[in-house]
Amino acid sequence: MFTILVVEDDRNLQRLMAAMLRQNGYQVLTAGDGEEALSVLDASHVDLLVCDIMMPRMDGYELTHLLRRSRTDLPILMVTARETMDDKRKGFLLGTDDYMVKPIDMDELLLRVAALLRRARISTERRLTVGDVELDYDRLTLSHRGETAALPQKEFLLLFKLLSYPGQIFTRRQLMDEIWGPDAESDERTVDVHVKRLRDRLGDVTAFELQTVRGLGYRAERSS
Amino acid sequence: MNSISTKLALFFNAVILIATGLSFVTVSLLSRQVADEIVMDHREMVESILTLRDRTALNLDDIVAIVSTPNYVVRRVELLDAADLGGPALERLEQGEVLVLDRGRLHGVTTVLRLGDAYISIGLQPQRSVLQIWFSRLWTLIVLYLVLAGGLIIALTRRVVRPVLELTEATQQVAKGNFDVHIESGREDEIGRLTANFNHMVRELRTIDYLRRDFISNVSHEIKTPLASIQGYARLLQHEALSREEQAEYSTIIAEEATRLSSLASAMLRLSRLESQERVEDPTCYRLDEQLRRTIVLLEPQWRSKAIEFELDLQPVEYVASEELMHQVWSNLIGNAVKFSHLGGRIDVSLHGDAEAVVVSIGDHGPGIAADDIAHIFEKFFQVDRAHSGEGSGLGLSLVRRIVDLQGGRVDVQSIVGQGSTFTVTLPNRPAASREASPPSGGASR
Repeated sequence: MFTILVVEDDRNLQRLMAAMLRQNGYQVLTAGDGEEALSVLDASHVDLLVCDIMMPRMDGYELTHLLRRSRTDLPILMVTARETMDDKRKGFLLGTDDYMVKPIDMDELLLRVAALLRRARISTERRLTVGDVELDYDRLTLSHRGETAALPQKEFLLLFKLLSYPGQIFTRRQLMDEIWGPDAESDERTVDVHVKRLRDRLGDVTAFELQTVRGLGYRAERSS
Repeated sequence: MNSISTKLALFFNAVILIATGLSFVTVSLLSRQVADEIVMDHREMVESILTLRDRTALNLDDIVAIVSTPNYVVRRVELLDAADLGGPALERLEQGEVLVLDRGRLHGVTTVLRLGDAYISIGLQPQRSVLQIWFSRLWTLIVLYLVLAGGLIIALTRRVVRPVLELTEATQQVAKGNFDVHIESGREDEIGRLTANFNHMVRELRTIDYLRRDFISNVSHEIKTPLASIQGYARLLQHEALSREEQAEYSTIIAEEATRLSSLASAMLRLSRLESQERVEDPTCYRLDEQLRRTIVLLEPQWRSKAIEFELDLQPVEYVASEELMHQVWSNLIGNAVKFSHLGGRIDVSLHGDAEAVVVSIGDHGPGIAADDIAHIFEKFFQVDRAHSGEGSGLGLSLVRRIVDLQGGRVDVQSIVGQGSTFTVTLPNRPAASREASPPSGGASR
């Protein structure tokens, strides 16, 4: 079970988030400001931090900054009323993993928390499992029903990226920038070619499907 | 002839000319007159002296005393300065002639005559001069002149200053918040123009003030309506005798209304920030087609649940603008298109750019907008169909219009009721156009 620390000075919102997270099977700790949060972090193991920005004594920026300076990889989700690009930029520069603007949709909060935890696990375990398919990031291999095959690097990275965010559409340009780098000379059609090769390779895989979203890009959809 | 400066200059020139001319004429006339008068007075006095000597037994000193006047002094002179008179004159004097000696412009003349063994001289009192005599005659004139000129100038200044005073009074009124001030002025000079502009300004302020009040009343209405629902349904939920379905329904309403409130709050915040802003902040060069694609991706939850299809025709275009602001434009327009599309509907998004302009059009096949409503859709809080508005704030298109204005472009709407609406954003192309000349990579992929 994952433990989540909710740092929020507004009592009602803190109770609401804690209740929502508990309802969905997380263990929840709470803190009213940054300093309190630090002492909770000292005392207990925490898998994810949900934190407000504007708080008394120590605000969310400072807390995030301190945690990142002490080289913690603890996933942080900032939840705040400040919605300008500058505020977001500051948050991300200080090292937050995700950012939500108040008033927050509780369902979205749950989805983001789950995604953050999944990615945190992927990045610690460096492997990804979707149904009966397992991807090993270090060896660039795909295992399916006991068969393990190595994939060409770009194809592997492409598949890993799409499967890390199941259901989310990526545009060709986004995938190019992420996998080939923003300065790559290649044509966006390169992505199409790699996706086609992946599809051929994944012919007998049923756990997920690589879908083309016309005009927009690709997504990996898990089979229900 | 309409300008005050000309009028003032003309006026003062006239005053100076007239005053100088008048004083010149008066002074020159009077000065001759005074000299003539002095001579004549002297002649009369000589006659009096002669008459008094011939017909009375008064001695010379008495006669001198009688004849003397406050203006002239008559003296008995024992010895004459021969050098002062000159030989021939002295001779004429000795023969009984009356001599009139010119003493210069300021002191007039001195009359000298021989009477028995004595000489009599008639001259101005030593402390008086011709000038003083002039002044004694002119002072009334000068005072009158000053009074009249002063009066005229004051009257003129009043005439100039009166509208300024009126304006001052009016500005004070406006400062206090009274926008119903209007100044009548039939003038066509600077003051007239100032007054006309002032009236114009007050009219504009009145409109702005009206819009502001309207905005505030709209805002409070927009805030109070969802609050009333939230309050009401929360109260209902406090009663225990509710079925699970009712509970679920009421709490859904509360959640929806709260979402509406929050989107209203953010839209108002953005709009007020944009309205105080005069130019686009931190513009960057980016791929517009990619931004449109990503905006559609971000809106996926909305369109996917309605099974909407996108028909995209996006030419690769690099554009310089504030990416964040333009994102708001697209997400509002595409979001509206999604909102007003029927289930399973299609939305067409196209992007074409050339050296001059970039044209983005977003078309839905929804209910369309009535012609009467099209004029109002960019107004704050205007919503064509409240039933359809859901969580809309009524500010989205105002935001779009404002951002596109800041970017120097325009938004056009074409709509046919029952067939759908198309919003076309035309943006002027900036220096990015030059990069457009070389075909960007990946252009042929779609």
